[in-house]
Amino acid sequence: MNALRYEWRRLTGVRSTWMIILAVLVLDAVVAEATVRESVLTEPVRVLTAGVPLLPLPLAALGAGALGALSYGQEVRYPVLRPLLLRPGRRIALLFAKLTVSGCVSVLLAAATLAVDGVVLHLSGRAGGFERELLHGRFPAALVGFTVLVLAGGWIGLLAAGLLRSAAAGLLVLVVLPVFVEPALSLLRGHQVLTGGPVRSLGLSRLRRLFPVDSGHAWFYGPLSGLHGAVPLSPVELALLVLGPVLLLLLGHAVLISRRRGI
Amino acid sequence: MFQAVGLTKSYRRGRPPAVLDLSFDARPGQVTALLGPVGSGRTTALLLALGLERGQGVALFDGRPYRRIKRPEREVGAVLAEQYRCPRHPGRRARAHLRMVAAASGVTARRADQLLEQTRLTPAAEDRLRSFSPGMNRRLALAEALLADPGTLLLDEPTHELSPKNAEWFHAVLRAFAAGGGTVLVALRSPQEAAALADRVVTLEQGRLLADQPVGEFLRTRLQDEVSVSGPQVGRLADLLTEGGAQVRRESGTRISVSGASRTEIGELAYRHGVLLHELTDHVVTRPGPIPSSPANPLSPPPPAPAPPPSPPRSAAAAPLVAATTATASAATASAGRRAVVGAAGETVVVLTPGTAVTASVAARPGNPDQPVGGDA
Repeated sequence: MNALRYEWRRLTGVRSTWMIILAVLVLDAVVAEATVRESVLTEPVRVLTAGVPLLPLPLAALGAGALGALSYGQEVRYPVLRPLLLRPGRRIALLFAKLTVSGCVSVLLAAATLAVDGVVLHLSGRAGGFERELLHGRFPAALVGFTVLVLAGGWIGLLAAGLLRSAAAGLLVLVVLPVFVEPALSLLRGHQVLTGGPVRSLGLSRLRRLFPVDSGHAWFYGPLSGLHGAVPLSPVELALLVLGPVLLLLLGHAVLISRRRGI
Repeated sequence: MFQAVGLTKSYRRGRPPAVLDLSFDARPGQVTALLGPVGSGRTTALLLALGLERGQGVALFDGRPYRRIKRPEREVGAVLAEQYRCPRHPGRRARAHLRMVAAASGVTARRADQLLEQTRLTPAAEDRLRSFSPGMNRRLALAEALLADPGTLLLDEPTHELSPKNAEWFHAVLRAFAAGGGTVLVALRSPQEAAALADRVVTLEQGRLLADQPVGEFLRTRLQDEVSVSGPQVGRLADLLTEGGAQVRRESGTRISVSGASRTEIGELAYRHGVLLHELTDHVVTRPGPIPSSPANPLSPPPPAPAPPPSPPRSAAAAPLVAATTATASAATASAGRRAVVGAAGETVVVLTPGTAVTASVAARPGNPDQPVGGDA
């Protein structure tokens, strides 16, 4: 069984893969162009990563997550390999092949996002200072963080879809993850008010703090795409928040993969 | 060589088992048919053999269970019914799909193209799978199963609802595969198809093994040629035929089924006696199989509840008849067919009570209860 070759053919054999990649890049360019036009907001990192304050994760991470979730979702929906995957060893091989391919695609998608948005930024003519800094080797660390976030997004979608045996469930886990991590984080850090606004009353606003879905909200992955963060986090904490869910899901796979009969 | 030993799939809470203690062999160089009506457990037996369903018993492929085979695609190719219903990604092209499965099976892309050619799918190789007809889907499923050149093929109703041309092609391929030394186990529901395709027929009934016969014996014991005759005066013809020694079964007022006489003989007889005929056709019917060799199992479903008496005036008259025929039937149980064995002897008779003529015929011919006596009722 050549799991890597299989996974590559599976990924490239359907149109939805290319559609998702294309949609992500087009949306990135549109968002970057809109950001550049608002002169107040021209922070180079935000333009490069096409950060949207409304979304809990960058667009590229969501796209990578969708590709990863479809990877296992298609195995469940179209079980062509079902008789071949009875041995746990083969399922492990398939899982690692999927992680490898999804990781490569996610990193390439992040790089393509940065490239497309870099072109938009360059064409706007306001990037002179930033490009000079790049030429002098001062590379913003947030861009590395952004790439890691996209990579983790792809893996979280993939692993969650494999655990829950559905592409939609995998993508859902990826989308609601920041929504659920944030209140937990705030509890851990001693009831800090996350949203910044005055939420002293009881009832609805407290509920809102638990489900922080509004346009003015600051997500804790924000600093990685040039937005202001909810909580001041150190790079180590941020890395833990990005890679922690991946490790948890991998643990779930490690527990379940030999107990299941199929995927 | 495929061996099934005691395959069993049972459920909790009193549902009858889907497959019960099924043991048979499929030998290399032969096509073995797993024959049974809908709901007899063919598909479950195949899934159990592959380990895709949990159950009891073992199925051995060359002495090893499927799960223990290191590279199963090189030994066993499976074409399962679930692959017809919920098949493949509809947006994929056939060639890309087969190359993808080839990668999973560890064979080259060239082998995939070769199989596309062998299954006559090359003209449609660049089409998306959503445009594939059921016949093409089955051929693609067969191509997937054959990719790694396995020695055993398991197929679940490969020709069901296919055109005769496609079915014939499938038969030819399976026969050729067996002639090349391969083992073929194919689940079928049509006895005629089993007789045409298989070398050995394993008959299932309600999850139990009913018979395991070479095809010659199967043809002799399970399939029967009959002639269907219809016309306004078939009653007279029926009497003439019975006198001549043929077995006659009345289907309706104007139609009888005759066994033991050829079409030509019946036609000549009708002509000689001036009987008008509207139709005279050959057809093949399945006879109920022999008694299952294993004794009644405690896990087996309870026999159906006796039917209520048909109507108040008749039930009073029927009661003594029931008692009389019960004795006859139980005396005949030793040689009786399936109908008399499934339930107790008394229940068999209760089922037959609506027509007193039927009850009489049972009493008159105790040794031959396989005769389809329900026709007159």
